[in-house]
Amino acid sequence: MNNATKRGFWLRLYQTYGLTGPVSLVLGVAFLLVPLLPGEFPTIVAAEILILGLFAMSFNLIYGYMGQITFGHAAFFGVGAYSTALLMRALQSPVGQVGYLDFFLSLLIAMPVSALCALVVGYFCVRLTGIYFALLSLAFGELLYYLVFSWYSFTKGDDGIQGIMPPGIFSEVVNYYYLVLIVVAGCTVLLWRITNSPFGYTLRMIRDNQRRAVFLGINVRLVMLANFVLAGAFAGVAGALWGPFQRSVSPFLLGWVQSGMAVFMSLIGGAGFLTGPLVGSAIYTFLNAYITQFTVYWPLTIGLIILFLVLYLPGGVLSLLDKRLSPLKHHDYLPEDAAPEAARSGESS
Amino acid sequence: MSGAKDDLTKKLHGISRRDFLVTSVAAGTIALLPRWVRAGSAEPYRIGVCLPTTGPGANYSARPIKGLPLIAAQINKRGGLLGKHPIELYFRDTQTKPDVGAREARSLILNEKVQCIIGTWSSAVAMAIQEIIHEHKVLHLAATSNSSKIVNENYTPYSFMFGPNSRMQSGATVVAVAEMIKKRGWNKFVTLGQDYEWGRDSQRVFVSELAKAAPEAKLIKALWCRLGETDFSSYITAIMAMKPDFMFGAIAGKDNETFLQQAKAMGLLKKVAYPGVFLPVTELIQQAKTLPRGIIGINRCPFFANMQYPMMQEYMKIYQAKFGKDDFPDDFACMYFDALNGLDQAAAKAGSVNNEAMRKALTGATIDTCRGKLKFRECNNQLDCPSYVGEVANSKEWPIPVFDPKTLIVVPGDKVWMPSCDEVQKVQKKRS
Repeated sequence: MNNATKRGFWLRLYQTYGLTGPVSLVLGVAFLLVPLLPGEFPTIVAAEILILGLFAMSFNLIYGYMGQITFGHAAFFGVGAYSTALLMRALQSPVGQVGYLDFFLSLLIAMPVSALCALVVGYFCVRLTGIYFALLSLAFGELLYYLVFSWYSFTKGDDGIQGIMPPGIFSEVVNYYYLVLIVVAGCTVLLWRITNSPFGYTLRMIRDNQRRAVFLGINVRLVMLANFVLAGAFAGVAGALWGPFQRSVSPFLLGWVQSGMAVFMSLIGGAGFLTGPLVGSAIYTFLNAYITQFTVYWPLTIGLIILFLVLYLPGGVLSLLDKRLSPLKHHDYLPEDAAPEAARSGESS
Repeated sequence: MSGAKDDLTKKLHGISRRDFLVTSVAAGTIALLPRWVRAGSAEPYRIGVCLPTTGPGANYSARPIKGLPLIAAQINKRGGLLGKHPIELYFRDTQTKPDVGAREARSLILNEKVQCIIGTWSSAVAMAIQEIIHEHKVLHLAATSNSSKIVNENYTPYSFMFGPNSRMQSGATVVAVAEMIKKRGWNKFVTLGQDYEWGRDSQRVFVSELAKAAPEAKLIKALWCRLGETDFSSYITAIMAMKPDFMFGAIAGKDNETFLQQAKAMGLLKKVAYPGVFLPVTELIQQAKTLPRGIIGINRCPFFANMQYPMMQEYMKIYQAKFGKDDFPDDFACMYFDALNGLDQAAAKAGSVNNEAMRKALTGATIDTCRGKLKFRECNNQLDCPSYVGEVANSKEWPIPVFDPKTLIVVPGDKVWMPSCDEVQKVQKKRS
């Protein structure tokens, strides 16, 4: 019996899938059990964590994997939310009820609409990098925000759209929560596949050395555009889940403050890890939901947390865990058959 | 000697050993009593207060946040609602974001078990909250946000509006301006509106309604500025060149403040009347030194126009006793005063603090407010409250500028709301 067997299941999981494996498993089990907690509110907060976590993970495709920062990512989240809300409104009965088929159709429409929107915005953004990429994405984000804010006849302008009620069983918090959990789990698996595919490694290469990628014959702009569209599509899915969860949508969902939230979540959890933004979302949303019960100084609280992280934990919470575990990864007690797999997974680093 | 020792102990520790023992035994006994024995005497009535303490709405929320505990304490002196349900307030910051407002409303209902939510600033936040309160059948008292959609398009029987809604406020401006046109012989005007739906809609309603009320006044130019404009000089010089008798502005929030400052500096306000600027008491206090005198403003619940009512006198007394003679309850603080007192009166009428009973008691009720006796309209729960239009002037009575009583026009709510309940019900949302 070697040391790895002694250390058991968790170490093997870590060695095979990197930190994504154990973190996903722990979070998965925890999220499954949340509805057992007393009261409805923890389930509501958990649903919020999952939806915003998916939004932050989609942002991290651009930031953590492609190495570009965007301050306009919420535009795709908002477009997804509005697509679902508008279609649900169109399909609602006079008393505001919607059928199951119409509901799922409304959810599904968000992904292609957001992806299309991201294709248009991305076409221009990927021509630039660094601060110019960030500024152009912000400009497009604000443009979409003002479009939604001002277009009263279609989007109801700054009032937003209310009465987005999910049908029948999904109007119950627990049932809607499990729907969110299934969708977010599915998206996380897809994101894991994407980031661990040759496409994902190409993204890392572009992030680390764009010039070398060009020399190797990679069409950098095309890869960046494809990633931008993917990120927009996943943000759209998160947005689609948000409207029926909150029963309303408003233009704030497309604003730069919402985009900033994804940045915060990625930084808190760790942008170098697939599940980092989800962990960041758990911390951020939990604190936001519960700290506001005791103090109205929420911006001060989150400001102090960010300050601490930037100064003492620049890689995010998960980096601390990874630092402690990483010596185990390539140590001599690593089983021989697991070595190539572990080397292949290795998160985003 | 022993008495002296007891006194010393009391001074040192704040409480004597005997008092401590008696209090502990009493508290323990009460705690051990079954819940049904205590329920009749001390079940509190919990109210969630959703207001922004950060962001653009924080300015108009400061005085309601200061004032609400005073009003609750006043009611609690009588034992609370029905003399036995003391009011407990739970404050939450909505950050002026609809989704945060909705989350906080849920948290208040599910965690704090509130039976009523008061607030909020921003109509978008109020309407997001309406979805949650309707689902949980909790009362909602809207006292700052005043979009007419809250009581019309997004109506729920659980929401009650304590101020004039946006439609009533625009209507009041038309009534007041029409009166001024007749008195002052005005015959030409220009409009300046923000170039987006709200600005265009407000301008359209004003122009069309004024054409009916005072057809002699002619619109000579409609100007449009972009949202977030910081330099109004070109608009100001254009207006001055046209020499209108008055101008109508559909400019909201910070942009309006910027416009006012620049218009004052360039002398526009001395040459052209500008009626209908939203000037709550908050602004009259904060801009006491800089606000141009003679400007014609509109507000919703000014204390200085309602001092003849005992409830306003009472509120002013407790407010100034706490915050000093230099501070005054603004429009919003006064409307929240009416909201809490309205709730108190509804409980008395219903004989219960049950949500459904309170809702039925408030629907169509006439309540005593700091603006006199006012009635709720049955078809949409809109309080029949007036809007106040007048010229800003210095006052001998108050240390801040107020609306000159000689020019003050009080436009009753029922004169400017949607004429018939059939019309209201046509636009109201059908809810399952």
